[in-house]
Amino acid sequence: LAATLGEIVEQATTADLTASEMVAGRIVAAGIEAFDAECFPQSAPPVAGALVRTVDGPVVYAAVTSIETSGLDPSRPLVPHGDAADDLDAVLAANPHLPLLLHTSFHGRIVAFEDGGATNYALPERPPALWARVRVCDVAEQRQFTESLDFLEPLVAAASGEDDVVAAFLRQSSRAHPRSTAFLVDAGRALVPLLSREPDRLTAILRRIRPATT
Amino acid sequence: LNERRILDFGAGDDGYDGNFDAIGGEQWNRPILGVVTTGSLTKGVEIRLQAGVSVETMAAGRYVTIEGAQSRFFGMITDVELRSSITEVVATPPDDEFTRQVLDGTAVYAVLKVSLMLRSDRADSAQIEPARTVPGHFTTARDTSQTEIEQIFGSEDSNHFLIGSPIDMDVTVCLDYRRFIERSNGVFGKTGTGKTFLSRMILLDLIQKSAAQREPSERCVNLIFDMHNDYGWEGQSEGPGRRAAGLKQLEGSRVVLMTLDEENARQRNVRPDDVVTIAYGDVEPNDIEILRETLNLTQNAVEATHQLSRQFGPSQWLAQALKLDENDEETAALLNRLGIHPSTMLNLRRGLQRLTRNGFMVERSNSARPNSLIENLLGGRSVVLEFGRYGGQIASYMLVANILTRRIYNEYRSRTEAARTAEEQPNHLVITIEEAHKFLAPSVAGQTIFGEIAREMRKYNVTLMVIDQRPSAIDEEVMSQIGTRLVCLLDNERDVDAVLAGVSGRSELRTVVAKLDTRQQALILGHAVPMPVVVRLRDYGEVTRGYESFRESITGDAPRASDLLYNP
Repeated sequence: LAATLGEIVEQATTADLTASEMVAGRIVAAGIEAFDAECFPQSAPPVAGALVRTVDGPVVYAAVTSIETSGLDPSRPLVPHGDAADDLDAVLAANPHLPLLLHTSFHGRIVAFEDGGATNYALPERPPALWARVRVCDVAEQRQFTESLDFLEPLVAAASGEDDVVAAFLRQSSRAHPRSTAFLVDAGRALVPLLSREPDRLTAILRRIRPATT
Repeated sequence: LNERRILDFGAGDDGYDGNFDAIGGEQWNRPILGVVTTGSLTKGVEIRLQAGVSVETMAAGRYVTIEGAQSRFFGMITDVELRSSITEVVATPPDDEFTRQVLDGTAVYAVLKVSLMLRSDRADSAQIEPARTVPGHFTTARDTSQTEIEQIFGSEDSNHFLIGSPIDMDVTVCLDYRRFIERSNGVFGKTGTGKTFLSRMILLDLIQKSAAQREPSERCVNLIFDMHNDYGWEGQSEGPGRRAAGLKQLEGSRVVLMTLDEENARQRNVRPDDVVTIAYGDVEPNDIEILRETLNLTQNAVEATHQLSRQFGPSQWLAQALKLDENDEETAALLNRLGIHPSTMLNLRRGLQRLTRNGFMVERSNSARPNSLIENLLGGRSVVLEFGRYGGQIASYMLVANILTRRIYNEYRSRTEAARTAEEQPNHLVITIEEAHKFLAPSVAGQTIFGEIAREMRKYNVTLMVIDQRPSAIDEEVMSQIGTRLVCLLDNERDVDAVLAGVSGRSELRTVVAKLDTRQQALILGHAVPMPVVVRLRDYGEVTRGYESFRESITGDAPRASDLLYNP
């Protein structure tokens, strides 16, 4: 987890993943506001700010707000292997069992659910199914999901204090739109009334989503 | 809700405009300027400008149409204000274009203050009436369309004459001819703002519209007391050496050019139709009274004129007064009997001599047709009386204007009273005076005939057109009788107050008057227009060009006034 959130965001790409690769994990704890999911060992974990959805049972959409990789057995703390001269590849080559001792989980903040075929940008009435698979939405889904800016209200409400997640979500969504800067401007404008009582959050988010060129 | 709604429009959501197009009608094709957020009938409504509409194009004086559910409201922008819904963003202004773009129209926005003037039902042919209520919350405002302007101001016909275009609009507005002559009017503005130009144009239009009237009772003639020789043959225009065509040049036989100063006319190569003189016998003590300040007379000297008039008779008193020599014993006894102090007599005589030194003053009228002025007016010809060199002396101007107007007014009054049918009534007369505040100041308005005309208005078919730069010096009562006011730029607060006295929404209109361009713009309000309008007059330079080309192509057809003045 040495990489910063920003770098993870920059790496984000879902365009070249196959459907099974996009299945990121399985829900192990669920509420109506959020769920925790465990990643499959063979799947790439989603990135922070990614839009994910359940594959099984009632469909909910969530923004990934945190990702954590740690040892499988909480009673056995991880120890550093190798010495200062060994790089990561060298350590993994010398200890091929290490990845098997780890697990990755992520936290999803629910921002919408499917209701009779339509996307309802609000919290669902019941939590998503336990052990339901969760997958990352593809570009087309992300564009469709963000076509209406109504997703912003549950997103900023849910991610209170997690402005980096909101910003990451918006930046990823903007890449799904043909006119990404225009999308960011419109999203920013929609944020103004939502955060009119929290100007610091507003400016923080705007600072994070403004295109580098401006 | 408001925020969201504006955002929806602002986000460039084409769906909205598409829907409006489907509803149809020209009004829907114009972009929405914003929505009504608050307001009152007395103070006007506030319109939050929608994102993407440039506040810089929203000039005070511009018209907007507000589409209510049942009614359509017409109003004028009287103020524009910048506001912010989040004070923090203003405290630390953004330093990048992206954030500015995001905040513009959302956290910071502009508000238009709109004074409501008229309303009509949504149906296109509906009657237009004064606004007596306000449009509801979130009703949308758009630019007023050309069709609506025409619907409101009427298009040019025998009863409407073209006056100019509203600010930022490519459409013309008209004044209602009949309503215009029905009451006294005023052209106000500080020096150099185009009062004379505007007046000349209006006079020309009045003469032409009058000629177009079928009913003789609808016709009008003008009498212009032309202080600076601006209206008769040709007048000053903007720029060195530029001359603007006068009424006589443009209208020929419909206008009679008279002068008080034949020599001056000759020097200017102007051939007047007649020369006007004033006989001593025409001067009444009341005329002297209004000149008291100008001639530097004491109150006692003014009283003395009444005494002398009683003693020698109204037609002889002036001639006799000039002959009196207080050193003469008989005279001294007479003055003593009349209670006139010798120093008073000295003061009076000095003042009277200042008047009688003028070339137009004659002891006995030697004109073959002493009433030529009145005959011309009654015969349907407008008269321009040029003052020549005497225009520079306010005393001469006031004396002559007062005496002639009194004579005309008496003639009109007796004819109107004797008339049994509308046909027998004399045609309508509009008297134009400059420096009107001298005649209509509170101290003299009671004595001059002009005060009476302004107050008694149209009873005897005589109304005034006053041209003035100090409307605050005009008697309030007279001012309140001015029907249509054409206001060029005024920057003295009292003057602005005076011209807007009695007008609803005047505190809002104050901004409009103060922000008028120094030239070519005028606010028109009152009887002859359904709602106040800021009019852009055409370029001054075009006037001369228009005149030149007119001269080259004089034909039997009478072109309309604005064509003569403007269009090459």
